Amino acid sequence: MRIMTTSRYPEITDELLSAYIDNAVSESERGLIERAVNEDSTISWRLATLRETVHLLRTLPVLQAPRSFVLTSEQAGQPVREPALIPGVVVAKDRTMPETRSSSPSQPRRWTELAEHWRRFWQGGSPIWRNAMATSIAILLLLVVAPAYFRSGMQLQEMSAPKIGADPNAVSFAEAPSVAQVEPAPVILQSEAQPMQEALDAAPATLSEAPIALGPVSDATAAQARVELPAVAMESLPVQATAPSMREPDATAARQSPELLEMPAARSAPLADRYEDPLSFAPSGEESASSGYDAPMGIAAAPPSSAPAPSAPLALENRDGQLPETVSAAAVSVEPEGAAAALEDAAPATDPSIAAAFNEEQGATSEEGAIVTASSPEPAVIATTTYDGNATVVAVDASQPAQPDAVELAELPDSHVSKRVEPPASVAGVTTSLLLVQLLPWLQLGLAAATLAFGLLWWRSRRGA
Amino acid sequence: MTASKIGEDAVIAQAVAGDLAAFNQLVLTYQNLAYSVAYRTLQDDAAADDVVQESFIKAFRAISTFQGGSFKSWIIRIVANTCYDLLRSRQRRLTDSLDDLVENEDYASYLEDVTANPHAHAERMELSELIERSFASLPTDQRLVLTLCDVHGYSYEEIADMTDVPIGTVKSRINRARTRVRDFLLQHPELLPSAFRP
Repeated sequence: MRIMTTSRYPEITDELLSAYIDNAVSESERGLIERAVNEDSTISWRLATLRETVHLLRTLPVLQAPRSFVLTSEQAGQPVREPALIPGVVVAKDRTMPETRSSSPSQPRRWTELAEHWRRFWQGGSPIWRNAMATSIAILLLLVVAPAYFRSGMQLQEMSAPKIGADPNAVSFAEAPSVAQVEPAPVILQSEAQPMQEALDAAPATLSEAPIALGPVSDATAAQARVELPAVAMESLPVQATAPSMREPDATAARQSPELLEMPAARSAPLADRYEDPLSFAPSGEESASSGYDAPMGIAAAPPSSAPAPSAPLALENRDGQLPETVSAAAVSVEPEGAAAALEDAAPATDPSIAAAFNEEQGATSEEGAIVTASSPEPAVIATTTYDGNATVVAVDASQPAQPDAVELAELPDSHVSKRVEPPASVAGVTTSLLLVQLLPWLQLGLAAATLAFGLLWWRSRRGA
Repeated sequence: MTASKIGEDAVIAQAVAGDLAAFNQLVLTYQNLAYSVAYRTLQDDAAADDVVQESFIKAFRAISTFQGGSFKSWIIRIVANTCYDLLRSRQRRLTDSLDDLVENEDYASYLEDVTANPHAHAERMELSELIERSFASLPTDQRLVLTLCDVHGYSYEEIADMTDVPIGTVKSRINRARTRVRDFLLQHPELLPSAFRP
């Protein structure tokens, strides 16, 4: 029930009357109130009711403590000791104080009390905001720790495992030995292939274990040949991978290529005499894909016009580690420039079958538009390998980075390689990974903001309770 | 300065020095006041018991921070803050505790005046219950200052020191509390003295 104040003294408020009751007004205010009380019955009634209310409140008893609240040594966190005598002060004996004395330290109790205070702290406030804050913190920690953990794990894995397909960017043809650096060397003869084979056999075995994801292959034989590919000396060829899984071998091949290049260079000198142009063997019948050539790791067959001038020797071996007698691939260059012209000028191999195969290859690639070679007028490397006694020449564009897209391989006669290699499934995974990497910082930022918001709401609920 | 005051200063000095026995002497002196304030603020005997015990423990651990002045105000300030902390953590409603209060025989014994006749005693009990209900209807901050001012008779300055709020705020809260109690009591005029009748 609200009391309407229509007095002639509107400045006489209940607060002023209350202060008047407590003798907490000035002399001027006191005189005003007394005059208003005498002249206005409403103010008089208001003052009387307030005064009586205060009187009733003051009749409330001062409650007696139901028990003694004196502190024990444990409550005080002190070791028990004799209380000091204070002159003139009588210390009341508290029956609740323990008779027995204990010298146990107060540290466990402090930890208990600390835990209790901590528990009370977290119990306060709204449990909804508290749990939301805790959840957002947990997710944020997961997004922070997990990527770092996986990155470190992948790094360790990369360090422990042989590099069978590193990032082509890390091993670009720009870093590969140039033509000037690598001595030109012809194709290694079969007789000299044994040491090479031994060296290749000593290569990381995991290379053979690394699957070369060239995409779905309809030909099962081609797939088998692909799997067996790592055993061949192709690892020594500075090929340019066009698929993610093929990148590792590139790095290995690139790194190993200088060494391997030197070996054949030293030993295949006599071979160089046989071939003036390393590419003189130019994918002819001898080196046709009819031997079961399986273009390693995204090597695209290049038309002769785009073949680079081979100046660096590469170990050329067939799958069995033996060089065909009719190997016409004298040398393979890693030179990124000028190779096309050299290849173009290269005389075709003496083996007409190889030439025919190469011609077919040209047609196939020109029709399909090899990504690597068609787009690169000057492929840098011609990787040559022999399978089953046949040699095949393919050109790889060293000036361009590895293309993760489909790699077209020349459809060579009796080739076990599919005409077109679909992008490996890992490319989609890489795209997803890249997307996650880009979104990860935003997710972390959002979760941090959510944590802060929930924490503030929870703190407000604790304070406002 | 009275002898008791001198004696209390000495005890306080000993307590500040870490003497538990001296501090317990102070506990015995102010525990009734502390319990009354806690109980009137919380309207719950069990909660008041916990608050008072915890307040004295806090006071002993922080005794070294006492820099003189009114020890009573210092203790009541700790009790008031502890009451606020408990209310915030528990988020209890005062009306619930009032039922417990009425049914609490221990509390009723505090109000019982064995010298009065039964009829007057019953009226007094009803009026006390009404006053307690009006207390329960107040906000915590108004209830605290009203207890200190009207129940225990402290001045505005002392209340401002105990509650750590400006004097103007104390005046305002006391006025609003008294006005609300008066309005609450006016809803039951049959129990009120004649002064309430216009």
